[in-house]
Parts: sequence; C-alpha cells; structure tokens
Amino acid sequence: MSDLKAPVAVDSDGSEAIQRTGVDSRPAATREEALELYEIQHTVDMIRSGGYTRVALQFPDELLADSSLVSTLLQNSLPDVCLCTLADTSLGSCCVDEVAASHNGADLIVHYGRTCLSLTSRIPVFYVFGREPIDTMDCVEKMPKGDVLVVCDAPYMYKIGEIAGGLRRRGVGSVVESRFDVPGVYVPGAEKRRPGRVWDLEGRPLSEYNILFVGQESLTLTNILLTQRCRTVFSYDPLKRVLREETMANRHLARRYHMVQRARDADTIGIIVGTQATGYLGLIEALKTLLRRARKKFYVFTVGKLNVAKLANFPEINAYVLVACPENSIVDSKEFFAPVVTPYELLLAVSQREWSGDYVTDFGALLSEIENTSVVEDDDVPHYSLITGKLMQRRHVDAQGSGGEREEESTSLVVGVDREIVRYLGSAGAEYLLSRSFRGLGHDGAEEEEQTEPMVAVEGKSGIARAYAREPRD
Amino acid sequence: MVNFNTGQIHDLMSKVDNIRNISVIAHVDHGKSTVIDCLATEVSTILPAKAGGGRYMDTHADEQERGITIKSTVIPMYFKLSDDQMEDISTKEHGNGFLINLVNSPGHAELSSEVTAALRITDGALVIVDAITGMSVQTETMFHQALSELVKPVVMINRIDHAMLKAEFSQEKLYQSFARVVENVNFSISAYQGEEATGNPIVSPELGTVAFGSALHGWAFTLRQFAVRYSKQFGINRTKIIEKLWGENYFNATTKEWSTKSADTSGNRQDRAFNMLVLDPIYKIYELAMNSRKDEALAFAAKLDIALTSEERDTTSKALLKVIMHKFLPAAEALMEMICIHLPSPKKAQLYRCDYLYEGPTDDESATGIRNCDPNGPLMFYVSKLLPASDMRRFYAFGRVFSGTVSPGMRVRIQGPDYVPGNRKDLHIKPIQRTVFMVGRGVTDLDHCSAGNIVSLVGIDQFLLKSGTLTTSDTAHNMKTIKFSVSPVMQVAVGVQDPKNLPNLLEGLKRLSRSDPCIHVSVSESGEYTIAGAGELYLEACLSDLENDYARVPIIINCPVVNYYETVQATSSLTCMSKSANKHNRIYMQAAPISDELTKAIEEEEINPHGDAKERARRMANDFEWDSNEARKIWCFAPDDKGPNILVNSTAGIQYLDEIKDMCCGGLQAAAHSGPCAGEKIRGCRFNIMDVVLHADSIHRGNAQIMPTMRAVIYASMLSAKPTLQEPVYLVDVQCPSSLNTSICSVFSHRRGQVIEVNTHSSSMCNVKAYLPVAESFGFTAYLRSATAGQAFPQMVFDHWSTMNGDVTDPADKINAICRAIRKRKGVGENVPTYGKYHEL
Repeated sequence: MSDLKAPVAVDSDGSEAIQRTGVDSRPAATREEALELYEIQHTVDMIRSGGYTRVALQFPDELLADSSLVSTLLQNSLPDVCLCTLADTSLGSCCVDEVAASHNGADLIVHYGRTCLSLTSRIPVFYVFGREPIDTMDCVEKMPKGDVLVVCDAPYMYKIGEIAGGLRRRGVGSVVESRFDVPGVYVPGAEKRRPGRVWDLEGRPLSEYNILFVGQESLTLTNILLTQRCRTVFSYDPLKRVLREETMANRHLARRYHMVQRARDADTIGIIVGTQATGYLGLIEALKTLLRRARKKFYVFTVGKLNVAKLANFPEINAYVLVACPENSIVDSKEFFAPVVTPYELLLAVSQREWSGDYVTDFGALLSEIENTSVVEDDDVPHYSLITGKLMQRRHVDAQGSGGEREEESTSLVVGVDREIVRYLGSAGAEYLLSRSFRGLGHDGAEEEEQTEPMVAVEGKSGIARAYAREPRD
Repeated sequence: MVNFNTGQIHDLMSKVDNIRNISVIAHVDHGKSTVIDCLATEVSTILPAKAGGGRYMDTHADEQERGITIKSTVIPMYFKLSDDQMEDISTKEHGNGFLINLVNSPGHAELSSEVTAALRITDGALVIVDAITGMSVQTETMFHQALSELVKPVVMINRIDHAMLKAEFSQEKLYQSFARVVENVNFSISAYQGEEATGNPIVSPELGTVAFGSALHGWAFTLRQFAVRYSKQFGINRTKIIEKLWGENYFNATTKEWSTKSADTSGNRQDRAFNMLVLDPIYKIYELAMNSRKDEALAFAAKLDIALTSEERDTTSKALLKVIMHKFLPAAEALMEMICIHLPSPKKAQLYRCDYLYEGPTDDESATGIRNCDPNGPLMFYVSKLLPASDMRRFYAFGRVFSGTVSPGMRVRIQGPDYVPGNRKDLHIKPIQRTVFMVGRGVTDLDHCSAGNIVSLVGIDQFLLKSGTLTTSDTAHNMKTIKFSVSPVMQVAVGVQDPKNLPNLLEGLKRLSRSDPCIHVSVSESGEYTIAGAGELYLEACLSDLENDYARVPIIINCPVVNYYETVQATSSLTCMSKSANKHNRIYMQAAPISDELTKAIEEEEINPHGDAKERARRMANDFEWDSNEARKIWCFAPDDKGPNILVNSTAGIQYLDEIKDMCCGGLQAAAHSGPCAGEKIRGCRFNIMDVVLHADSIHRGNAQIMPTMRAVIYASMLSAKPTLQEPVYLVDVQCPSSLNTSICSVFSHRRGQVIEVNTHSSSMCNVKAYLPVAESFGFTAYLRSATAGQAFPQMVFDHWSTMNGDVTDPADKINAICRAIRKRKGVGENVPTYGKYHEL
C-alpha cells in the first residue's frame, strides 16, 4: 500500500505530473483497500445525513488513479446523488477548489488527501484524510525522552492516540497530543471555530516541549519547523521507519530572512493569488494597503500554478508576494528570477520591525499583524543593502501610477524627452522600459547612433522547432 | 599638552598656510607606534578645554560620560618653529605656530585599508623605515599608493639603536645602510615618476627630507640640525656644510680639510664627514652611557652643551642614555621641523592635487575652489571614512574640507559614487547636524571649519555608503573615489545559532562593511553570509569587531576559505549550443581566454563599459590586439557590468536579436558570478555568440527562455575550452638570519611556494622574497616559526592571480580536487560537469 503523497505544491508547473513514470505512481487501490482508505462508509453517511444532492470529489493528482473507483463506490451507495470528480486544481491541491466546484453547482465538496485545512467561503467541505498503515510501536520506541507534543500528518491522525498512549507508557515525559479540530462537515458561516490542529499544553510554553511529527517530509513539516518555536522537532517517517532530528530549521529561517532582504530592495511588487481559501481577498486588500503606505508599486497576478517562465515574463517586478494557504505559501526554489515571499516576509520587509525569529503563516494572525505594524515612514533615508552592496533609495512611486516623483525645481512647461515623462508619470513600468536597451521598433526620438539599418529580407528557418530543415545533424 | 578653547582652534584652522595634514606609513615592527607616541607626548597635543571652556561641550554630556572611543582618528598637534627654522618656510604671514593633523590609523594598519583612506585627506606622509631591513613589502605598497595620491613623502630611518646595539653596525656600515634605504626609497619614487605634479618628490638627507633616529630612545635628527651646529663651529654657511655632511665627503681631522676621497694625498685613511661629525658623537654617547662610564658621559654631554638637571644626572645607563640623547637630539623637534618645512600646506598641495582629486572640468567653480583652497568657495568635502561612534550604531563622516567652509545646519548635497551631475541618482540634500573636531577620545563642536582642515560631520551617515563627496555647488562633480588595493582573496562564512539573532548579525555586518572599505560582505542564495578580506589575520580582526562591537550577538564562524576564479585556457573545442526550456530557441557560443593585460586593464577600469564604443574598440585594437570590428560588437562586461569578462556578438543579420540583448547580458551577469566548475566567479573569458535561433512569437522567446539558455551555453562553452581555476598568490617577505636561508627556501617549496629573491643585507641577516599561494598560507606563519625556531617572521601581501595548470575534469588532478571541495561546501553535486551536460545536439 503506497502513501498518500504530499499535495502538489503551488509552484509546480504540472510538468512533473506529466513526466512522472510508472515507477513513482502507486498502483490503483483495490476495492477493499479503497473502502478503508477513502472512508467510503463514513462519507456516505455524511452525505446522506446532510441531504446533499450534488457532490464534488476533489482529488489531488497522485490519487487521481483511484477517483473512478471511489466515485463508483460512492455512487453505488448513493444512487440519487450527482457526483463529479474535480482534478487538476488550478492552485495548490491542498486547498479546496471552490471555484471549480461551483462550476458544477456542487453543494458539498469532499476533499481527499492531505489538506491545509483552509476555510471555504461558500460551499461546505468534508475532508477525507485517508488512513495509512503505521507501526506505532516502532515510532514510540525510537523517540528519545523529554516532554513531547505529538503532531501527526493527516493520514496518520487516526493512530495519534495509540502513539501518545505508547509514549506515556514508556514514560518519556509529559505527552501532549494534538487534535484535528475538524467538524464532520465544515459549513461556512455555521461554524465559529476554524478547523485546524489544536493542542493544550496546560499552560506551559511550547519552548519546553519537543515536537514529534509523524509523516513524510512535506510542506506541513516545513511549516511546523518555521512557525513553532519548540525545543527540537523530531520527524518519524512511517514508510522508512526512521526517526530523525530536524536541524534544518535555522537554515530555512536564514534563507527566508535572505528573501526578506531581497524584498526590501524591491520597488515593484507582484501580489500572486495562490489560494481561494476564505480570507485571501481580505489579505490581498491588507497587503495593498500596506504597500500603498510604503509607497511601493504593486500589481496583482493570477497565474494559476506558479512556474519560473510565467513569472519571468514580468521582468519589471522586483519581488513577488504569494498569498496562499499556510502550507503552500513558502516557495523554496532558487530558480525564480525574482524572490517569492510570504505575506509575513513582505511585512517584515516594508516595516522597520525587528524580526524576533517568529514566523506567521496563518491568515487571521497575519491580518492583525499587518494592521498593527507601521511601515517605514521616513521615506528619504536610503537603506544599505548587503545584496547589492549599495545604498538603496526608495523610489517614490505612487501606487496609483501617476503623480509620483516630480522635480520640485522643474519649471518647464513642456514635458520633454523620455526621462522627463517617466519622472512626471512616476510610473514604474515606464521607468523600467527606459532602462532597457531595446524599446521596441520605431521608437520615437531614438537618438542611438546604432539605428539599425533596414535589413534585406532573408529566408528563415523552416520545418519544426526540434529539428529545422537544413540544420546540420550529427 | 595644551588646552585650546574653540576660539583658538578656529584661529589655527583659519591659518591655512600653517596647517600640515600628514599620514604615517610604516610597518608596525618598524616602530610606527613609538614614533607616534613620541610625537604625541613631546609636542603639544591639542585637547579641548575642560568643562566650562567650550560652550558646546556641556550639551553632549552623554558622550563625555561614555568616553567616545573611535577607532581611527586624528592627532592634532601644535608646534612652534623657532625664528631660525622659519627661514626655510616660504610663506610666513601666518606666524610660526603650526597645526599638524596627524591622521593615525591604528588597528590592522599594516593592511593598508585605513592608510589608503588616510592618504586621500593628507598632503604629506611620514614614511618610517627600519635602518637595518629597509622598506618592507607592505610599506612599499602603501608608499606607492601615497605617490599615486600625490602625497609628498618624507622619510624617517628608525631603529638606529637596534642597529648599533644589537647588530653592532660600524659607523661606515650604518652609513651604507642609510644610503641604501634612501636609494631604495628614491628608486620607488622614480618608478612612479608618471605623476610629476608634486615636483620632485625625491628624498635626500641633504635636503633635509630624511631624518634618522630612534623613537624608542626618543631622539632623531636631520642633517639640518648638525649643519646649524657645525656652521657656527667651522664658520661655513649652513647650506654649504649640509652638502658636506652626506655622500662622498671626507674630513681630515688633522689638516682640517675637506675632500671627496677616502684617503688623503699621503694615503692616510680619512673619515667620512657623516661618520665623523654626525655619527661619532652619537656612538660615543651610547658607548659611554651603556658601559657605565657615567662621568665621561656627563663630561661629553657638557661638551655638547647639553644641560642636565641634577635629577637627570642621577640616572644611569639606559635612562641616562635616553636623557642625554633626548636633550641632544630631541626626536619630536627634528620630525616636526622636517614636517613643517618640507611637507606642503593644504594650500600648496591642493594646487597640484586638484586635477587628480576632482573628476569634473578643471575650470568650474568647484575645481577653482579646491585649487585655491578657498574658504569662501563652494563647499567641497570628501568623506574618506565612516567612523563608528561609541554606540557602534551611528557613524561620524570623517574627511577633509577641500574648498569652502562647512558649518552645522548647512544643507549640503551628498553625492554617492554613482552620482552623475545633472541627475538625481545617488544624491541627497540634507543638513549637517554638527561639525566636530576629533581629538583622541573626545570631540569638540566647531562653529565652522574652513578649507584645508580635517573634521568629522554628524547627521549624514545614513546617506553615505563608505565614502562620498559633499558640496554646496549644484554643478559640482564627484571627487575621485579612492581605489583600494586590497583584494578579497579569502572569505569566511558567519552565522548565528539562534535565528532570532539574525537581524543583529545582519545589522552588524552592514556596519562592519560600511566602516571598513576593504571588506566585502555578501549573502548567498542560501542565506549564508560571507566576509571576504585580504588575509587570515585581517579577517580575524574583523570578526572580533563584528562579534564584540557591531553585532553584539554570539556568532558562528566557519573556517576561512580561499576565493578562486574560473577561467579558460583555450578556445572552445566546438561551437556549443543550448536550447531553451521550450526547445524553440537556441544559442550557439564559443568561449576564449582574454589576455592577462586586458583582464587587468578592465579590472582597473581603463577599459570600461562607459564612453564611446568606437574609442574603446580602437584602444582594444591598438593595445590588446583585438579585431576592431569585434571590439565594436561588445555587448557587455560581467559581472556587475564592469568585470573582466566580455560578451561579443559575432553574429550578423539575426532577426529579433536586439530584443534579447538585455536578456543575454543578464544571463552572462548571472553566470559570471558562479562558473560551471566550482561556482566561483569567472575571470578573463570572452564569450562569442556565434548564432542564435529565436521563435517568431515574442512570448516564446521571453526572459525565462533566454536567460537560462544563455547561462547553459556559457557553461558549455567554458567547459569545452580547457577550464581551470585561478588562485590568489601572496608575495611573502621573510626577514631572517642568513644561516636559515636554505631552510626557509625548503619551507616554501613544501608549500608550493616559489622563491624569487634572496637579499643578503648584512653578514647576519637576509630577506627572502617568495610567491606563496594563498591556499597554502593558512598557519604558514606558525609553520615558518617552528621551522626556524622562531627566528623568521613573514609578511604577506596579495600579489596576483595565478592560472593553475591542469585538467579540471581529471579526477586525479589537484584542480579537480579543489573544485570538488568547493562544490561540496556549496552543496552542489560534487562532480565537475562536462560540457555535455549543457551542450545539446
């Protein structure tokens, strides 16, 4: 029985899914396995009791192979319910794809696989985490002594009590287990609590605890490493049956802090919509306000799943901020031409707050952080950037794109050549265009000596791109 | 010590003819600190008047309490010349009181960064040289910098006591040793004769620009002092006798006749005048005093008109020696006299330094102001250094007023290194909060400070990076930015244990990097911070500053590593091609080496991306044997748009090529920072774009397609062009007893060193000069000491980059091993790729 894989990260361009070979993909589940793994009976009960009639089943890419089987099994038990399968989510597959579901007029979404437990705004959700086999005794025996908080990845959640009990019996110290605070069906508006991992440390600070994370290396683990300031994080991989001490947290944070520095140098920011989870619109608005206060130019992008080529099409953007669910917002890739930061990192970048080593990914917490933070008001003082090795002067670009930096001393009536226009308009885009050497054909007022002569037409290449005709072949 | 109130300081500062701004060039071992101590204690150091005197002092009581400690500073001194000495001063209208600003550079002074900063704001330099060993390599480097900055040198030959007592030099040998030092200095000067503006900077004892002495024993002299003494005795004109006191002039004590031969007509040996008249009394005092012949010593002192108090008469041996010598030839007096007479005033110096210092036209108001050192001209102020204040958070902008007058509250234009007149980039207009005069550990506020003086400004540090020009003239250009001679050949990675200290570390690094012009702080993609500097000792010193003063958090320091460059040794064996990710675009390229001369010319910015392309092409064709057509088709230099790698467009008639030019350049800029073999910077390579195939639709030939392709094809073309590494090499100077000569040579050969010169300068001592790869220098000092029982001490200066021979791809080769080690450190796959990885068919 293979694993339920990590959700496809939002920065994946899908090519991985296309190129994936048979070695990697798990064999489709058998009927018996599926009944257990996909909690068919429980799902059926939920749908029945809720009286839902159109249900969307959302599968992550790696579970897609089982979708028809699951759909058939459910349909068999629910002949009068209209089921449809959602695949290839436009954003991260850990988030509930509400838009796709509403295209089908669904009144319930069943989400399979790992989830970030983000909220939906309109359609109720029922989460099926799946159940993966685990040798709890092995895990318990390998855990060193010390007070511990047990956190399980979704597919292992059903065994958390067993693990915690085992640890208590071994007497490693005080053991606290986390719970998934998920209602059977999450109905937007009806629930006051937001679902998520909760734990009760009985008043002691987390810094006195170790964390035991049960599950494979994933964004969930990264998120815990970054956001939870505990003593040590241990991760137990049930597949490899290995317990290891996570030491990468500091390097992770150092790398993220480097991103903050790069974002600080940026004048033009791209806000990328990377989730549909409730609150993303509010967060985007908050970020816009923040950037306006910091007098930075911004643009909002929806590009679906991120990839390098998509973002590289906008070279005038100096940094991107990705508004995505907590587990998906950290893009840890060196490939991107411009840094991609999280909203919290952007907040650090534009404010003068001292970073305390904390890390916030939760929307609600972020919103209040943003509101409570003052941006750098003293616009005139440049900051010294270690990345460029120069003093960086903030460009006074008005967020509205006009009426920006003007020469106070200028008394000229006519706005002259390029540079003047840019100054007058204060447009970041126009300024970028100026810095390029190629500005399009027939550029007005071009005074370059090397005005290219019109060329005599020559015959170009013919054939297809992978091997043009008349091309030397080896 | 004299206390001056603010009014008196202002008075001194306004008499610009009587100001001398000087720096000290010396190797630490040669007694620099003793000389400075000697001057500072003997001469009236100017101290701000105590509380109540200065009206500004009380306002900054907090600073007084904390006791401002500043790393590098000025020692202002006041010295009064006698009427007799004034005869040699050409401009006398400002009286005989002189203000001497000695810009001291403590700390890692031997590593020249601080000295370089000091040279800019001074007009003269006191070069201190050891009587036995002569100029050290480091002194020589600094000396060359001084000459190129048009700073006039005077020399003090120090540690004569050492030569006399320890090395037991005879008088004639000592003279020979002096003559050799003078000759060396002048040789150095004549090698730099290109800069003739200072007139003739040759030093010579007859002119009085060479002093001899022992700072340790508190005495020094120039020939002038002896000439004064003997002109009375012999009744000969002072200027005439001074010539007789040096060189091939002999005096026959019996016949009382001068001659130019070492033997008289009857064949009797005659004594050199210098030995007999100058050295002999000194030797005698030493002999008598050190051998406890106290009465004779006292009698001899009386003969020389040295008046001793009864207390002084009670001293014995060394103390007595010091007392007598100090009274006989007071060091401070001799040096001050030499400085005041022979080093130029700011007014004199700026006349010829102006063209060198100022980047703008030679006839605008700022240039005129500088040339005339005009206190009423437009303000021209050069900030040579940012001095950290005691809290290590803010900085004083330390520098010199070259024209005009600076005062608190004045709004000035702060022009950074990237400022271009008429543009607003790198320009800030801000008021100066305070103008302070730094004296040792304290500061005094000044109402104003006029041209020719050295002061510090408060309140503008945020707008300055490391140096900069301040002015009040809208048309002013920048003053030339100082070139620092130190190359960052070694680097060390730093980090913190607790991530919450990261911001502190970062702030600390920023402060360190701003206050030290020779430190390169960089951040890698992975968020790792590295500090690069000139050598092991230097980095150690910086790291301790960082931990204790700037960051104030515990830091983790990794082992220092050497920086390499990647380069190629041949033209690519084939035309490499890479395709973009969407396979629709192709770039064909060949790489080839650039000659060493051109590489250096680009690094020294003689060949640069600015200016007329045709002019540059002509120079490259004439001086560096480039095809002038190709030289015209240079697209860019890299890294950082000015580095020693060139992208040449060798194609013709390719559609859309203009559109992707920026992207190609961007690709090279990125690649040049991290080469294919070990991820080190690329140096000395040219890349020829041979052909390009582009997709007709612009969205498919965007940045994301072109830049990575460009990088790949650069890697492919380098890897097919015999890639190798360049390693930094030190010039090492070892001074040791001659007997150890051979064992030192074998020490070098063990460490891949290459001995280039063995210089025996006395029967017992010799100097060994050798090249030593920086990679082999770790712990070299200790190794050498143990191999020579502590008798040899090396000095190391970065000299050049040396291309390593060998094959990067051969696993048995040393270069391959180096690459693998670097790759491992950087966390990229250990195996050096072959061109096949990037070249596509």
